[in-house]
Amino acid sequence: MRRLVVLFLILFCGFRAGAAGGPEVDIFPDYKGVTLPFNIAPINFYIKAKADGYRVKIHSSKGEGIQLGGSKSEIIIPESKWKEMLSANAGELLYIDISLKNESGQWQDVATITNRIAAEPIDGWLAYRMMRSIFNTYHDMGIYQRNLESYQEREILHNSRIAGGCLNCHGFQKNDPKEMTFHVRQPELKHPLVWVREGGKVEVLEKTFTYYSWNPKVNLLAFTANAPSIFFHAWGESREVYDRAGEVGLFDLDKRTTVEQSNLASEHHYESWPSWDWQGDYLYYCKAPDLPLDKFREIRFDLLRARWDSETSLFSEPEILFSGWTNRMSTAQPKVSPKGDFLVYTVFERGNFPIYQQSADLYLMDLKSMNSRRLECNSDRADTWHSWSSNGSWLIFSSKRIDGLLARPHITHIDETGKATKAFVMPQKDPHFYEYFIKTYNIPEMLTGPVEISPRKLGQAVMNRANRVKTKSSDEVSSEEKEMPPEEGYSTWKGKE
Amino acid sequence: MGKRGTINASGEQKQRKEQELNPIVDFVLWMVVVGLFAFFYLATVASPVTLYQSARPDAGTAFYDIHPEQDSPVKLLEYPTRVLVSRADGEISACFLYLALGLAASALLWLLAAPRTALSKALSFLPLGVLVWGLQEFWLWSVTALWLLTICLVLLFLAKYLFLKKGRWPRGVLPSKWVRALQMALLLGVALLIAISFVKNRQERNDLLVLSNLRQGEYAKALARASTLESLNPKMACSVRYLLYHQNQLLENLFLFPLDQERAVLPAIPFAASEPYYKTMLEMGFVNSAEHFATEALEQVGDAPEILHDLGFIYTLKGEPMAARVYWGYLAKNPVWAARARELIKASLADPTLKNHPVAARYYRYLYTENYFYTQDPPEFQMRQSLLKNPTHRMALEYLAAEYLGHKNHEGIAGLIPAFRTLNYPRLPRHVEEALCLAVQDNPSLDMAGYRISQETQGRFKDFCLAYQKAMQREGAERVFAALRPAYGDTYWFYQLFSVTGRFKIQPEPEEES
Repeated sequence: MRRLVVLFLILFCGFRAGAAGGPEVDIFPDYKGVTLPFNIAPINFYIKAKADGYRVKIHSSKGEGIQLGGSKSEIIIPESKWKEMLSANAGELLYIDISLKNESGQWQDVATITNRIAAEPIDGWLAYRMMRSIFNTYHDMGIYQRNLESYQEREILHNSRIAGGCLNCHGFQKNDPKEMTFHVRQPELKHPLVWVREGGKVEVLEKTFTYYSWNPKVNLLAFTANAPSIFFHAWGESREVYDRAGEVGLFDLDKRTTVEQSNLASEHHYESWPSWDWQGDYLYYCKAPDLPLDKFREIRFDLLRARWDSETSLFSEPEILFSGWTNRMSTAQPKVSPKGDFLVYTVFERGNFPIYQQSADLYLMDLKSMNSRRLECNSDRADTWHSWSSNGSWLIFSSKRIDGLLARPHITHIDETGKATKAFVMPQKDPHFYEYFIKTYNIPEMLTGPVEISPRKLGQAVMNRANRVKTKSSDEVSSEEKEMPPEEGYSTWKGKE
Repeated sequence: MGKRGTINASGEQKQRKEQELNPIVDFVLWMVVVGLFAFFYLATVASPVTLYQSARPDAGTAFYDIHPEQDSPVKLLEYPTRVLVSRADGEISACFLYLALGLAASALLWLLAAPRTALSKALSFLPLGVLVWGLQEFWLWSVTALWLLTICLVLLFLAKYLFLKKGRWPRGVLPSKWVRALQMALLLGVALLIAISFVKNRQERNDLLVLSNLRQGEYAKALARASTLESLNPKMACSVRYLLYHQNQLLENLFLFPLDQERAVLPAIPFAASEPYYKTMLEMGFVNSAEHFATEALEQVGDAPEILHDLGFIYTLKGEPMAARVYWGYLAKNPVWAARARELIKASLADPTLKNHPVAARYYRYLYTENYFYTQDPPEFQMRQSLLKNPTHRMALEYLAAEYLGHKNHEGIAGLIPAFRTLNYPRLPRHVEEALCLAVQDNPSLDMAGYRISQETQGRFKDFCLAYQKAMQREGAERVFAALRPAYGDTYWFYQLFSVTGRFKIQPEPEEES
């Protein structure tokens, strides 16, 4: 009977917390009406209501559930019990009953929150860049990885290990942590691309890109080398990025060589945000006319895709999927789902950098019908920098919905029809965490496991001159070099304790 | 022989007895003497509050609570040190804190050292010396080393008296001549330390103290200290203008301090002066600019509580109360600022705009809410816009006038005379009058809006012109600067001629790091 009531609530109230004989109470973070992976860390929260006592019962269809309570409003869920309950109830509903003790000492049931436990797991790890909300200068930034099944966070590399350089745009091949690339912006190191390979080998390639994507089949990066610059507004959002110049190119990691200029580049336009689909057949990217800075309000990017021929390394005639000019909106960051059925991209008012625009929302295109729609998980603040889980059931993205300033990783479930559930913020051990943490999360990328190389080793490897590898464009490569096995002739760093 | 031996033995016995009789008096005397010296030294020479200002004890330590797995052991040791140092935000409290820290270790060493020879007594005060030296160099590690040493000594002390037999100084007593030589060396070392301390880091210490006074709103004290600085770095230069404005002296004594025509009053690229610059912009009403450079300052100096506090107000003004509360929530992790931060959060929850909060209300008054875009802060344009929107905005008027003075634009100054009238200035400020002396020569029919150039300024201008002519005739063009500088180095006319003030030059801005 209770299940029927809850189902009714889900259907007609959209997973809203329902009052159970009392006033509705809020919780922070907002974990009401969300769909959770069964392997997620406990969703600790606090109850936004004053009371003399708090009781919470978390339960599902199987098992006794978890009972918590005390005089504090913070609800800290024991990890082992939580894991046990969620794995036993995958695919079921999850209830959180809240009771408060009033001044006269009586307990009152005030709310039952109904969530759903998805049958599909989420990738266990998340990599992101973390730093303060910076403008021009930076001193403290790092790439970190977080175990989504617990609260464990590990440094991948902090910039204090690489002479204070800027770290950005980490990338992985099909969410695989064994192979990683990222950029280092450091003048003495000549702004290299760092390639961390399986077995802890590190190569520091003297090659600078802006945005890039790793082909899922071969060690080939599609990249754009842009010239982004920041400019400012006197009122409203302070920052905006103006991006000029940028052509799609291909870089062969094995040969450390830039492939001949791709046939996608066109005059009076510039390209950005290249992204391979998970099959490596299509390259998706964005393109806009080359306009001067004072016309920044008119810069709107189209979304295109082109089929790639691996034999000739050439692209087919690109097709426009979303016209910036027609829709009076700009696009960025296309990402195709692992199964190849959906494309999620960001739509926003103008320009090339959605995180600084409140209007930024995630849109989903069904690649069979080619119809697009705004995803249900969006907010009235910037929602962007998304990444798919390797099973295609989860999307993680940066959202500024909590405070309007700092990006926090939010997770949404995408079902077979492409419908997204209400997003929830990545759980933290301390329920107040997002109320005092002044750092922002950049580029959340899901991983199937942890990056194993130690930060110390990685930092030493990046700083070690012996690991620097000169790169070439394809017309500079001699026939002898072309025949040489890719590993030979280059110094690679093999970590030593 | 036997008798002499007996006499010697009884003399030694008496000496030992004396030592045994007065250990507490001896100990107290030593502690009082060294303590007084150390207190004097800390209070007058080392200025330990500067360690607080340079180390920027902040809420950042909370980060290691949240992510201990990311941390190195060094940073873990840094946490209690920062908490300790954060208690030292004031000269007297800082002196007592460091004194207690230094003397605790010294006292423990004293108690552990036996027999208590002069050498061992002197060596007991080594920790205090390390601390004092560390404070002078703004080294946070010296505080870390000291509290670690104190803990070790306490454990050793307990171990010695609870579990071990009473120990002895292993090497026995040193020959007296060595002891005397070492004592002399120690005394000389202390004298040298004092001498060096008076010279070394003086500029840096004074800079930090000016900033400290500025942050605490002690503008008169800060300005007095700034006037003793030998040169101004961009941060100090920007701070001095801010202080001059708050002491109603911006247009009276602008040229008393170094000024650079290239940069004029506000720095063109303010990265090296982020902290005073954002404070100026915040009061001026340009909240986005304030946000930009408060963020830069935070990145440069670490999570300084004052900046976190101001960022909360900045985001409140921008209509982002949740973001404001994140900064104050972080500030609440700082033990010294926690109560104030919690009050602000409470007030923000009650009224997210904080329109009735005294600090926010001051900023709201001149908040500039029109948008334009730029790649680099355009201070002159900003002040003009602000003054157009709020003709009663005294700060915008004075900074704009100062900017015109800095760029030798006396026609611009002439154009501002009606604005001074709107703001009911009883008389025109000194430097404005000086600029008008030149403007009137170019345009004798200049409308003075009822103001007159004072007799004093007119007289001084005549004297300046005569002195200039004389110097040109007698000393030649190359020596005019030296001839006019003593009497007129603080005037607009001198600056108009030589592009520098009579004081020293501004240090060049460091290259932008971005």
